[in-house]
Amino acid sequence: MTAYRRGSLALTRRWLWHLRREPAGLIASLAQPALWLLLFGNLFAKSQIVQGHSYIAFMTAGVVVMTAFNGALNGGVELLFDRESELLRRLLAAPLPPSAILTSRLVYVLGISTVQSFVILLVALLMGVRVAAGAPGALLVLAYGVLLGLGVCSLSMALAFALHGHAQFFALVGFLGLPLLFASNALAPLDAMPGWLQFVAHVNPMTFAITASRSLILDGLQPGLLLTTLVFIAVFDTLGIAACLRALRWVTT
Amino acid sequence: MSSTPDPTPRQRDPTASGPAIAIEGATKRFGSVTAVEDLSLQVATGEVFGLLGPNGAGKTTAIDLILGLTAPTDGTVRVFGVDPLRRGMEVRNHTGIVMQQSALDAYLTGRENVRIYAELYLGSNSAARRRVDEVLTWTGLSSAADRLVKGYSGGMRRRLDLAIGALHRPRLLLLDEPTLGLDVQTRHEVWRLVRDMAAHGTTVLLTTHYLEEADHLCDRVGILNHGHLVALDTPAQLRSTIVGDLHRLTLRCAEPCDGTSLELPAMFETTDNGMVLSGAPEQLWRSLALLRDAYGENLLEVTYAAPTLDDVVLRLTTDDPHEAAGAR
Repeated sequence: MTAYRRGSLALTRRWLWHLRREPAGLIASLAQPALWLLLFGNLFAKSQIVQGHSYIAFMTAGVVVMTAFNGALNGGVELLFDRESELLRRLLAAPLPPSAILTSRLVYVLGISTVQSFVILLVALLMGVRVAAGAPGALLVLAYGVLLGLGVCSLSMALAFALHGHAQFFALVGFLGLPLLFASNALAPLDAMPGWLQFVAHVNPMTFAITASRSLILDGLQPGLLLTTLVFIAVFDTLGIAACLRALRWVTT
Repeated sequence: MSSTPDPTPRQRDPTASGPAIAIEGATKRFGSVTAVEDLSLQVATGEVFGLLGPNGAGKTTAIDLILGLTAPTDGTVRVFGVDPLRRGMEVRNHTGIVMQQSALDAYLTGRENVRIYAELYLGSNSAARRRVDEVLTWTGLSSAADRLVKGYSGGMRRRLDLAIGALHRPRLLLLDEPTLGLDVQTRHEVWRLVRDMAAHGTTVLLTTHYLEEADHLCDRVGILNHGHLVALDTPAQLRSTIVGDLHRLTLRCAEPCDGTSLELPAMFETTDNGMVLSGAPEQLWRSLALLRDAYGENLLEVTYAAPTLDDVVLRLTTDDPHEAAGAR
């Protein structure tokens, strides 16, 4: 086995051991997105903001992508704690390609958010939301979450390497989280937004993943949209990963 | 279960004849700060080498250079003949490290911490799992191995760091201030473990503030100050060449005694109940003879203290020589 695979596996196991120690955290992280769906879905059930579909069907894609986004946005903080406790330096002194550290974090964070997304789709199904594109469509929705999370988690890890400490990290992530959610089409369609917010929402990577996921849930597979979404997310992921590798090099030299 | 880090005899290394560490003219600057300047030193295979010096002298940077964690601004570093920057994986594969700050995952058990590194260094086979048990036994942590590290004492954490450092039977062990802040018992226990590894042929480089530690463990020591190597020799040789004039005699007298009128060959200082003389051994003998003639039975007690490595480091690293001389 190569050092990269060995390292990625060993460190992913480390995150899973952490998870096993915090069963309450695991349950909460699975229940919370479903709770979002129940709360928002019922709160806006009578709203006229969405035409032609139930609000729950409309916002299912938003909750899936938001969950993947938030998980990934906070995904880097463990590495910042490792940096602060010198554990990161100790790992770098082991025969381990630094990229294995990043991979372990990505595998863990994206794995958890995929399970969360799956639970959300199940709860939505129980509330009467059927994915128009069927099971392959549901898998694609999960894949969009993973692909968006890849870029976001990479950026989060870049912050973990570049910022001074965890207080700064949480301040920044706290500052960005909700505004990015509201400046996307997670909770309301783009044409219900004022012009300037529509502009921000159009460049928000969350919007791309939501639009594509939503069309799979409400309307069915649209190959053109699939392609443009994949291209956009691929560009975003490439930038995120490049930023992360650059920040890691800064820490290691 | 063996009480040593390595129950099987080590294979002699074909390249073991060369130095374990060879640093040539290494300089490391971080912006405008020079951490290490023109550092040259060789550590022989099997040697226990100490790097001493005050905080900020460049000791940890030297360790980072050896591990290839940082690139020298100038100069070269070789570990068993290998450039750690180009072939870092190779160097790290046979180097163990105990860092200044205990770098453990507090939310895992002791055994889980060791298992992660066992997988990184040895893979996930049954020999690796056996080795995890061995090092836990070696460091006396078997009974606490399945408790969370969060509840470990400082001494237990340090022993776990050492267990991880020794896990893959490294040819080179780097210890960055291994006993900082530990109680006396744990310090002695850490020394025992380090000596144990050295006895099995591991080359050891340790940085320390505790000169007693260097005296106990090290074959040779190098003293760093402001990134420069200011001395390099055996502890005994450093004591005799650098502070051979810092032998001390403390005299207790029944009545006040004073050396001013006696023209004593040694330096002296009057205290409340006697005086302290310092100088080379023969200056002290001659001074003592003069004092005995002058004061006779008034001299109640004479205590002798040899110069220590502390004196060496203070003399070499304190900018103000007066402060260095009177620092004890």
